[in-house]
Amino acid sequence: MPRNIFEKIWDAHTVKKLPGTRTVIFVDRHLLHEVTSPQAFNGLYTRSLKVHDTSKTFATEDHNVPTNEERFNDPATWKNKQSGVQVTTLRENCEKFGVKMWNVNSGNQGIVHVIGPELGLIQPGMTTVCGDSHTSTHGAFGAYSLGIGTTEIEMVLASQCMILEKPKTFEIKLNGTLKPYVSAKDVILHIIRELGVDKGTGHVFIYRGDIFGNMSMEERMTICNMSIEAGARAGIIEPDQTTIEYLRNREYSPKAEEFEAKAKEWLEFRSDAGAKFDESVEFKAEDIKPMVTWGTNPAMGISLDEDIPDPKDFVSEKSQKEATRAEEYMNVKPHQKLTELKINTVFIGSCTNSRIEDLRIASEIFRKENVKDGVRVLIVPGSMNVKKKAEKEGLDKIFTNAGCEWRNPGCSMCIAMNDDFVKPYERCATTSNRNFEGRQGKNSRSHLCSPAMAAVSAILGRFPAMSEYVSLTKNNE
Amino acid sequence: MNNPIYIYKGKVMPIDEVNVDTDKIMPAEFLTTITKTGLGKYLFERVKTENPNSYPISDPTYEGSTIMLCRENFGCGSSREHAVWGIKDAGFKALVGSTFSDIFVNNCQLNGIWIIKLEQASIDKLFDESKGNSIELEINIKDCSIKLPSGESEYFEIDPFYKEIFMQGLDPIEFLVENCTTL
Repeated sequence: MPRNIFEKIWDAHTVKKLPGTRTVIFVDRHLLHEVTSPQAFNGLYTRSLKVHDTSKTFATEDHNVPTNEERFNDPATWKNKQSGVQVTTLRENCEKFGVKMWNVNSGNQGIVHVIGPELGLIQPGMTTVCGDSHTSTHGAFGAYSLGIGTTEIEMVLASQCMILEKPKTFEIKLNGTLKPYVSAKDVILHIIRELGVDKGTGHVFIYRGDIFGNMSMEERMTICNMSIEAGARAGIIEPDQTTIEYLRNREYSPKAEEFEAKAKEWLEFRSDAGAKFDESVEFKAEDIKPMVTWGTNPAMGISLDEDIPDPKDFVSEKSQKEATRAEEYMNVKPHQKLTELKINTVFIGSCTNSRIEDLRIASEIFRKENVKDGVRVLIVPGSMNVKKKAEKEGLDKIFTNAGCEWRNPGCSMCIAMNDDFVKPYERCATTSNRNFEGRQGKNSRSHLCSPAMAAVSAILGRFPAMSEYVSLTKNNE
Repeated sequence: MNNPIYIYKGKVMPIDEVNVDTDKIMPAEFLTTITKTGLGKYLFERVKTENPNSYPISDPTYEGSTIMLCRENFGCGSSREHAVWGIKDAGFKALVGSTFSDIFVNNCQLNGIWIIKLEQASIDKLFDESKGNSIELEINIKDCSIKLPSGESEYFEIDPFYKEIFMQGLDPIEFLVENCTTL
């Protein structure tokens, strides 16, 4: 009986089938950060339990940490006292329970979904969880990787297992040829726009086709990262030679002699020929153009060729009401051109787009032009390792010479839990993953886009017209 | 817990927006807590003042409500369980709607908040009836039925796992530790 990749992973991790619809599933990797874990550790403490398997449990601090030099001071002295408390709590919990943790003083610290892959922690065929909905990122490795709540964190800490309802599978096929100025971020924004924010609920996305096969691991991570924005708790791209090469020589990858044997096993986690999926949709790569969101959820996006839509054109009364509210909040008008929107802030960072390839792309723009007067640009590398690499390549100098701020790794302006936030009523072109009301700060206005688009909007102080964008990004391969 | 109270009657507060994300339910500034309590006062903190028609938390008409009526895809976005702790702390016992986000449903179930899914048409009707009015619903978890303001009853499906842990007073974490950690 041919099985798809998800079915193979599910079967391999089934511990016990429960009466009804639930299954006990074994967890290979448990990643933690400071925001969603304190109450879970408290629970363990109250139950007098240890962490069941510390060899599978890894933590970092990312959501709250300042991205400036303040981070290296004692968290008790941080301006945001409560952030300091939360970070200290994680450090103490990891110490108490024997969990490996990379704090800001460590060379491996960064956004949890950036450091996990860098360290080779997630490998094909694994199940991975973290108390963060963008855990879907690691599906790029052919893993079943999902976001969980705090009580579920406690569950996994206590037993290395979860009680899950088996999701359906949703195949997303993409074949053809992408235009040279279209990036992985544009691809996923296009897909989310086409599907809507809840099509993936109850499903795991399985991205198949030439386009995903031709993507680098970082591009695949951008794709899988935003699966949750279309409702899918997890998204998977099948492992191949690109995956194998990425994992070679990583800190937690199998060593030398074992690696080749392991690599063979990993490649078995691919869908069999003739495998079925519960749902399937196919997109044409040629249809995809550079995207920008105009509204207050990630599906509210348009390509550079389009104008802000008219709520009256939406199909249902509910979606018309939603679009009207979104335009009011974002201060955009029906039929308005993207080029008319003045950008105040640009954020290049987040678990979606803060890896070295993203920074290289942005640097190509800033190499040629400076930031427009009055625009604030914050560039936050996804990890200390990305930061080091970028500085070795001289990207930091390109950024600062052009007028950008170069920071230390953390979630920063994506969630604005620290000092990095968008001022009320200001507009931000951001490479992050959510444009909900108030996401980047009270009354902030977020426009999701790719690193190239964010960089171009920084030098223009507005979004570009399609022809401008194509010519400004022309030499970037 | 041998005799759980499985029939619940309560007043309804309608949240008349689709795709209510957990950033709206519990903004990030309140996620720095290291406990689960005290978040009720921050429920819908920003939207309740910016959009009080859709988020009538302070509307005296709906004072004392313990059942939240929800539109499609309620609880989407971030996995923050803080959203559920806030809902619970504010006194809500059940959410009635047509569709909810996966992570949010699990978070609710693990905190004893009932998720009741009805057909779209029934939910739309309940929204019409609760516009400007405080209506009451009676939920029976054992029979999986809900008594509507009209007096009619509708049946819903409930996650069998959720029903079991509620009716038996089980602790899923204890269950896993006792049964699954030797493997």
